Amino acid sequence: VSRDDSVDAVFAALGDPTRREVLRLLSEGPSTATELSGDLPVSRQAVAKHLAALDEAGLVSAERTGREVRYRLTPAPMADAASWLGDIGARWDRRLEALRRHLDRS
Amino acid sequence: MQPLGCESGYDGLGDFATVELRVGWGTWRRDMGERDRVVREVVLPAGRNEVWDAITQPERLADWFGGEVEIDPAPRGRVAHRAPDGSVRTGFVLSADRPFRLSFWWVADGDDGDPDDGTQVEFVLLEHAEGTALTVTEFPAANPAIRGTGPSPAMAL
Repeated sequence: VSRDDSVDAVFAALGDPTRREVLRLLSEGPSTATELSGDLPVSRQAVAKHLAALDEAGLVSAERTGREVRYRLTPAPMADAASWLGDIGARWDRRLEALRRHLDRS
Repeated sequence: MQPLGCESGYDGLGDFATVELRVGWGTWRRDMGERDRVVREVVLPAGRNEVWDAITQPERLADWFGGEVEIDPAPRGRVAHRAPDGSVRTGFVLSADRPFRLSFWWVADGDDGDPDDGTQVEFVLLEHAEGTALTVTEFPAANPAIRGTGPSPAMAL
């Protein structure tokens, strides 16, 4: 999977308000689809589908304990995606500062 | 860059069509349906023609851009940059409207030169009480020659 594809996958996953709410709930600690559906206005099946999409994007990981599957946040892909744009942003910060100094001199 | 806080990354997003991630260097914003982009705006103590010259003339670019850079400010004009670390990006100018707007597309040369990794850069220069408000935007973009809105592929690089 190319870097660009993973950035796209992260943003596609973040594009849905229910999935963002799932992530917000998971930021409080690992949880199961059943527990999450208790806090959300959608069915357990719908939560499971959202969790699968988030898993696909690498934003959550599933851990099976007996019959239970708990999901936890894995923020690394978001940090990667942010870092990729962060590099470009930092480059322009440096250049624009240098451009300002250049114009001060000329 | 600071690691991304999960909580801060999602707070206040609501149901809006814009996703924002707040990270150490600022805000990363994506309007859904667009590609992610870097936007920087600065006010520079010079008129627009002066700023235009500074972002297009080779001897002036050499003083601030970093590395060796060439931007031919005309449609299909060549863009080439050799960064201080030796990496090279090349591309071409998409539009040049002195002293208001300059945009170009470029992509890394060599093994990393996947056309899908290209980006588009846009400079917009607006009059400002203290000089010129310059906005720079850079965002991922497929080669415009291949996606059919720019020069023919043969013109691309």
